[in-house]
Amino acid sequence: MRAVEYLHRRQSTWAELESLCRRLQRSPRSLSPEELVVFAKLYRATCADLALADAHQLPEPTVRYLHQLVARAHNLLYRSRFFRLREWLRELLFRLPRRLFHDPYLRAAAFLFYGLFLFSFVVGWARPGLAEALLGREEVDQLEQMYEEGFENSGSGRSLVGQGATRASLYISHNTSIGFRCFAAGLLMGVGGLFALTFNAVVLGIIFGYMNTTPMANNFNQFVTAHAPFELTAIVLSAAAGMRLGFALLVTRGKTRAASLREAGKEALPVMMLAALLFLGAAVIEGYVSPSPLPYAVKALVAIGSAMLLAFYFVMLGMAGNAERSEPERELSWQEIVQREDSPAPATR
Amino acid sequence: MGFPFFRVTIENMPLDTSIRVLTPENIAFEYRLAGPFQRLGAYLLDLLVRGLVIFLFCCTYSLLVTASRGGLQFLGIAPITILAFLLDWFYGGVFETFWNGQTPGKWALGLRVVTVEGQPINGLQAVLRNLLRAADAMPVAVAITFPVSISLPTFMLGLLVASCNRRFQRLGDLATGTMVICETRETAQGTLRIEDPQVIQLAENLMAVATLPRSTIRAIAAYVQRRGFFGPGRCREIASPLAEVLIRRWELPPETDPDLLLLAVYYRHFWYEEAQSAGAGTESPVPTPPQHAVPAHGRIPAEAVPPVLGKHL
Repeated sequence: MRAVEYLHRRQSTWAELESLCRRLQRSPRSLSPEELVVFAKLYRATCADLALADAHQLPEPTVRYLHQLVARAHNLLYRSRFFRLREWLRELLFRLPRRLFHDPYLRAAAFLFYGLFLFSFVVGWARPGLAEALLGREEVDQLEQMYEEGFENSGSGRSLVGQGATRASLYISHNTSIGFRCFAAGLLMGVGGLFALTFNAVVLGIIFGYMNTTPMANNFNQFVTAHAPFELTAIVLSAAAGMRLGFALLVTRGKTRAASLREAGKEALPVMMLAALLFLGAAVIEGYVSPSPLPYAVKALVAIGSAMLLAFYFVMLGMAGNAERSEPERELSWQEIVQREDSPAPATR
Repeated sequence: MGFPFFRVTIENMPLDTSIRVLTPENIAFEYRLAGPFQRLGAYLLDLLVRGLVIFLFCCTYSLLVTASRGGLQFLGIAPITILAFLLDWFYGGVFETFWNGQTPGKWALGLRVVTVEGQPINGLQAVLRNLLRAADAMPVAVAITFPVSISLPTFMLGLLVASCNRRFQRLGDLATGTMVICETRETAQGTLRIEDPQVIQLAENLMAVATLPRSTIRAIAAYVQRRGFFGPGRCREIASPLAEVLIRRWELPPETDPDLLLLAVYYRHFWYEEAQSAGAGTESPVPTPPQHAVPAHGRIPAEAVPPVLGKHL
């Protein structure tokens, strides 16, 4: 068949597919089921035209046109999958704590952060001059000013709710952004995440140590106690997620670097999302409970409660999967893998 | 094969920025990759959209606060801060999940994010590649520190990484296995109809066109379709290497115009027989495209499908 003749025969099909594409693009629901069937058929026919373009010696612009038409229809036919809430809940509540329980990066990050934090706390407490040397006079003055006043008369009722909302929103946006940046920085061979983690641990430790030598120690402790468990854990988690990404580039376990990174990305994102949730919780506590005139016992109770919640999540939910995990994993033979895929999935109740 | 210089063109890897994708139908089609600067345009458009959204929200929010006579005042700037935070980190991720790999900026410029296999991306990939933009934006220059700190992402790292791989992937793309492609809207199709009598006259005498290899025909077709962009002198220069060989082989008069000769070959190959039969008024005129709308019963009329394709339907 001559190219021209072929073109004339097919042009109407392509035009029809194009018009259906245009309607689908406007709204996925604008086509009736019959029209959708036609769309799929036209798409396959156009695919076949493209495959035979060389055999029919179609001119170059037509081939280019066909490439773009097939690509366009392909993207409308095969669409992105949406979030499924149930799937995400299962990931967050069951699979994630089990993975984190065995995550060497989380252990390393937690050890590094809390170790450095305690060390700098002791140093900052023993040598109060160090805080000034490290942070500068202005910063230290500002800190002291912030905690000069207590929280006994910080308003009540509606204005308190409003102030809390403003504060919480600022903390959410500021702290979570730091967490996200710490996570992204981890991609740089893990160095970025390590730097952020170390920096935060040392600065926080020194500040904590220094403030405890000043007359404002009481006010300071009143403020930081309630939200500390969530916030510190969230920092550690985001750094660990970033390190997971960054070190996947170095430790590839036999995969290509790109594949190793992709796999790490899949595992690291839920960790980061968990960290974001913790930042959110910390911000709400920091906005409402920490600066409130509540007695210290209540704030300490909030801290203990949130620490217990974290312990439950990481240890109890993490251990829960341990029994399953501990059964020896042996290499499956090809026959077994094929058998497993052939046999229908066991019915779940 | 007497035309060694044309063998290089199609058989080898494409030199341009197109990428081959295999569909589930086992058809390979080509995407054009979007370069870093096309993507910069989409990013700036998205920034504009984000700014507009915040601006409009601020306007309506302040109106609401005024209208409620201070009833909403206790919330302060909290809603605006939260919105800015959400737009900052999740704008791209949410749009790319629900708009099939496009944000408003990408949609406006005809770009789309797909996986490296050419499949649509999922929510995890969309969110992760947008969170990791913070790594690509490095190093971040701090432009103004007072009254609010405004930082200027330079995207140097992303640019460096993108220019080091074949698919222009930035770090976020590498971590999720995605790439950004260009969905061009091309309407040009079909062959050019040539009506120059000189060409037609010359074409009458070219009996040997059928012996030309396919790749040569393709090269000539590419030349004819693009010759409108060049002046006559340049056309002669481009056409002469091939035309000289043809003139020598077919023993044509040596003063034949190279441009005219290639046009004649094109005409002979794509149009000659149809023009003959149409001129003679015989039973097979140039078939006019059959007109049909989408039939309600969901079948394509048989004549729209050539026999070789029938089994694909």
